[in-house]
Amino acid sequence: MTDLEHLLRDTLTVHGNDAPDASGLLAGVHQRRRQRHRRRVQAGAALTAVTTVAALVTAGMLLTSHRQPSTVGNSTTTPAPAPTTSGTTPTSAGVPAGTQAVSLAGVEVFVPKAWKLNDERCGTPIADTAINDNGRVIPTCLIMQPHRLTVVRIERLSTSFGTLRASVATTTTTVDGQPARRGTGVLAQLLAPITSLVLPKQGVVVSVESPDPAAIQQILDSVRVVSVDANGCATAMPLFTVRGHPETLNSRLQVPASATTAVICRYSATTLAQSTPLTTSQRGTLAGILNALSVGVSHIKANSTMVTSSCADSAARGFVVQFAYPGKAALRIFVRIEGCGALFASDGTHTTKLNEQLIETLVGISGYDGNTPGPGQLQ
Amino acid sequence: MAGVESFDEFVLARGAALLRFAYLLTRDAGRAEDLVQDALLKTHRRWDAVVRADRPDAYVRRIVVNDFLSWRRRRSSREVTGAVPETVVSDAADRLAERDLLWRVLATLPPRQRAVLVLRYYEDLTDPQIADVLGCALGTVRSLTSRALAALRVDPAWADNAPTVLTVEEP
Repeated sequence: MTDLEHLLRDTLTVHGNDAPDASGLLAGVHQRRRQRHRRRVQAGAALTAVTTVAALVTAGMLLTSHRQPSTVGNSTTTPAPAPTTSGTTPTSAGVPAGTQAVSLAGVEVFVPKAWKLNDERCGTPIADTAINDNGRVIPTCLIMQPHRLTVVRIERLSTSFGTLRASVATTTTTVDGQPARRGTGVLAQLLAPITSLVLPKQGVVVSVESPDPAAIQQILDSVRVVSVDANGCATAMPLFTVRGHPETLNSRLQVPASATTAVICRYSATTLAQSTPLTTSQRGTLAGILNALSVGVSHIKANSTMVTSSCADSAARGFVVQFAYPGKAALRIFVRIEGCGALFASDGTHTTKLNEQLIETLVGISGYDGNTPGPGQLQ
Repeated sequence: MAGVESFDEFVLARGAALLRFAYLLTRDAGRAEDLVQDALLKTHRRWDAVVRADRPDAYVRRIVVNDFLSWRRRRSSREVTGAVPETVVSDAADRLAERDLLWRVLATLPPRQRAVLVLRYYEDLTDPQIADVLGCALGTVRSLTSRALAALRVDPAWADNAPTVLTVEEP
């Protein structure tokens, strides 16, 4: 080997170390796989893609469904008590005409209904939109934001951009009796001037950038603090206790097809992260899938290399599918599709295993980007 | 690849190496990630068949290279790439400077020549293996290698440290 070849080998080895980190590679591949699969599912099953209305959060909650069967004493499952609410915050009074709600952690903001929500690429808005930055996975790429867009963001204060955008809000005010701050400023890091409304108790900041001052005013004035969002999801994760060994229960879920409305409520960190109302066909599809699930609970296969999050984290996450019926109490089904321990769907009385169809449907409708089990990973 | 039981295991085990490989081809971290993710996505769809053939690594690498080459073809041949600085190090014994210069000059090679060098000197593949990855004849591999090394030798920026600005990348 010549000196040049030695140097070539050396050069390639050294510069190979500048390659991007591979830690997010697997998650990225699965995310893209799910996105493609979702598109196919949505097209094939005519499940109209309902862009999600993002959600809100506050509250302390307890979810014990992740308990391992061996630690549980008896074999009964108790229905979920009513969700705890602060008592000071109102139930959503509905969506004003011509608008749609976007909510996070008990904070709701209303934006024009014509807007596509989360209309961005790689985190950069590409049209007038409202973005719910609640833990979404954002791929990296370089996109230039078009000029003169109106962009609303609702995000957690605990994130770096949330903290940054909250920094311009220096004037104290209140929203539905809750302490808040509001203000306008120019952030060098973000280039455009923004107006932010911060609700410290809820840990949320709503920010607007727009060439139209009236639009900024109208959007921020629409912000409210609620315990149940416009789609009927409790902003605090409902208490759901499984006291018994779920596998001892031996009857399937029974979801009547006569539901008049239905919504998927997704919870993260014990608070509502996203609520997605279902179309008629989606209601029927989901009810059919739920009714066909086998009794029992699922687990991630022992030989799967899928990385599950910590039990504490996963216990604070989950989906609640709510079906509303005329003259009857709503049917709420808790679905746990990720994390450690048992994965299942349960109405508190009937507990079933998951299947790929249910996971793909929930993920497809809600647009959730979490680390959910893929084909062949459940047992 | 013997012992690989699942797609996830494969990605966890080989992802970093594939990213390094893609980065050496593209010299762009974002593009490298895209290439590898795309390749893995395609591989995932045919995972069972790929595993049965016992060669997932070669399969993915081949997709990465092919996508890289087709991506390069789509780019304008008028594209101006990074230039070797006007001031070039004078101390030829300085390994760091040599590597830096060679790295820049590598960027000026046609993509297939660069791919051959990366496969040979980084991935340590034999000529038949490189031919398999590139989908070309053995003689083509040898020819590409020879031309690439010759280009490096005669490149004025590399050969005699003369002040040079490299501009057009593609022939």
